[in-house]
Amino acid sequence: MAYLITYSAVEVDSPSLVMTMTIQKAGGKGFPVTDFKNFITDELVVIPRVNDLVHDKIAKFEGGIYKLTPKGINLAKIFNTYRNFLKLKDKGG
Amino acid sequence: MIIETGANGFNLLIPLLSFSVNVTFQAFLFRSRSCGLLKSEYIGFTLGLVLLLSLQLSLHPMLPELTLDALAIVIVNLLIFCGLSYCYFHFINLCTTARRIRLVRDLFASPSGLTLDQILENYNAQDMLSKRIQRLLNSGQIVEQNGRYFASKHLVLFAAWLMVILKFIFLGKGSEYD
Repeated sequence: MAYLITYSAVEVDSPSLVMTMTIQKAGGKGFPVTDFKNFITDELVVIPRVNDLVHDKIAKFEGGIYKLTPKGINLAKIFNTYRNFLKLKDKGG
Repeated sequence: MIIETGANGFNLLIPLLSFSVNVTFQAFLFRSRSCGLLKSEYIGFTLGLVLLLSLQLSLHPMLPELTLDALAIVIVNLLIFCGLSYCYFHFINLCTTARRIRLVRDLFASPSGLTLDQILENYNAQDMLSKRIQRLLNSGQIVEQNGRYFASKHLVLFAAWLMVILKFIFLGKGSEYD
């Protein structure tokens, strides 16, 4: 189980980790606040993840609309239940 | 000759019991807003670990006489507890930060489905960027001075390099951002 979780974490780069490494690489002169907007784009961080959902049969794409499959609905229920249990307010992501 | 290893049914329950304490305290501390999410995870893990070691010590009060077999049981129980805690830590991370889970939850909230434009209206790169920058600033991993970010703590940085190495080992490739 730990291997599966680690694999899924490694498979796709975490933007937070990439951002931290980018800031660290900038060294003592720092990384300009505005520069992140230039390379963190929807095409890089959001749309590929939407495509992953379709590829993994968690969502289906029909007539220009994305909808969850039964597998995706179950997944959403599991995470929503635990988020409610923890009283998480932030939408996450 | 019978070698006393301390192996019994209770031994099997020790890591599960300790893991339950980890989850219970983590959830209680965070739900009551006694501390932040990451801190609640650290405290839950520490309490579970303390319970595990205490129970193991209570089974083997004479540590110098600990046999190799008994030591093996202690090590295996530690590994089981750490493995379960590791999975729980990642499960919480998925609940709070995973992009795919966020998208799945957005789609779940719209049973009739969403177009790509509607998905991006709810959640886009700029939203994600501001949330994550704020998290890194709040946890002190980075600081902002005169319109520039600087790395301050090295915990996330260590995790980042570990992920780079693991990605190379598992998938044989580098970052998708390069």
